Amino acid sequence: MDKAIEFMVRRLSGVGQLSSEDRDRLVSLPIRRKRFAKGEEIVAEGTSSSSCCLVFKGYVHRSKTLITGDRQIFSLHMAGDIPDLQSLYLPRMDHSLVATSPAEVALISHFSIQTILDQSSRLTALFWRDTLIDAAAFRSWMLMLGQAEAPVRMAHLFCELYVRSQLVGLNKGNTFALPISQVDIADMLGTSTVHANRTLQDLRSQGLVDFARGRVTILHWRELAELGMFDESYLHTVVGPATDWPTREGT
Amino acid sequence: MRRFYFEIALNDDIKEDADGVDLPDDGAARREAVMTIASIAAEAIPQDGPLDIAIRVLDDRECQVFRAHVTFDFDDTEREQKLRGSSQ
Repeated sequence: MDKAIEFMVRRLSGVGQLSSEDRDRLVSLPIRRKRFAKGEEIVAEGTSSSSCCLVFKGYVHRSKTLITGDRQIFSLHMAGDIPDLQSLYLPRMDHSLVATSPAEVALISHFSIQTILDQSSRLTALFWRDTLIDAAAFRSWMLMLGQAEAPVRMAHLFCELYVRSQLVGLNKGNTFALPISQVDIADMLGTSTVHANRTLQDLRSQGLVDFARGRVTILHWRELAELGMFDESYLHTVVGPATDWPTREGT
Repeated sequence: MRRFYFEIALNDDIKEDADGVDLPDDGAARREAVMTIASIAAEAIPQDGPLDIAIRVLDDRECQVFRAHVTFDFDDTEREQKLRGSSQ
């Protein structure tokens, strides 16, 4: 199976029921691989797209920038995610999709996605479910941005990324790659870069998590999740809580 | 882009900035400092007595670009005195 499709299969199997027929339909999708440099725009706000981007390497984010130059990153996406799935029905982008690290995506035409969705109502339901989970994550980020202090937001972000990368098999023990800059982290958390750095040093000195040389290491899961007020139910995985997964270490 | 260093002090506890942050110009560094001190102030809860938060921005030649401080100076003695007065 193609690596990109394999990640999508892992993601969808982790959040719902994927029948073997639907799995075969996904495998049959024609894809076109494209590589993006860090910071490069994948789909720009205001443009129309005729395909969706399935991430299979690196990280990409969705963001919008004010006229003042201040940017908010709304979501961070990893292998297996299709961050612009909504372009299938809302082709004109109301935000930008940007490579947060060097990234590789598989472009799948709207036409081919629509074709397999027309063949299977269960697959349509699964894609819909995945889109609803995406919206649930937005609510969770909104709560953090509006109500939580920076250490809580940061702990919550690391917990979410850990659970999501575990789902698609990107974790190595208690670590995962996160080759993104602290400016990006700050724009996700809605803080200044200096305050994000300071907050990270704080979490590090408490021995909860480390983020260095593009890798996150979860040092104490329970304490980090407690600080981040992290309840993974909004991620709606069907494989049980990440804390029960066999490969979990460093708890 | 130029590198700026943000030294932050909570009362006498000074934290130097070894890594620095790359920003376009002095104005951006000043803005970064103001946003940072405001966030620290919003998240700091003064525990025992007044809290002074100070920030100092240095450029790559260690020249001071900007400096600011915010003080929490709270006073709850008046209410305590009233309470004491009414109980007598």
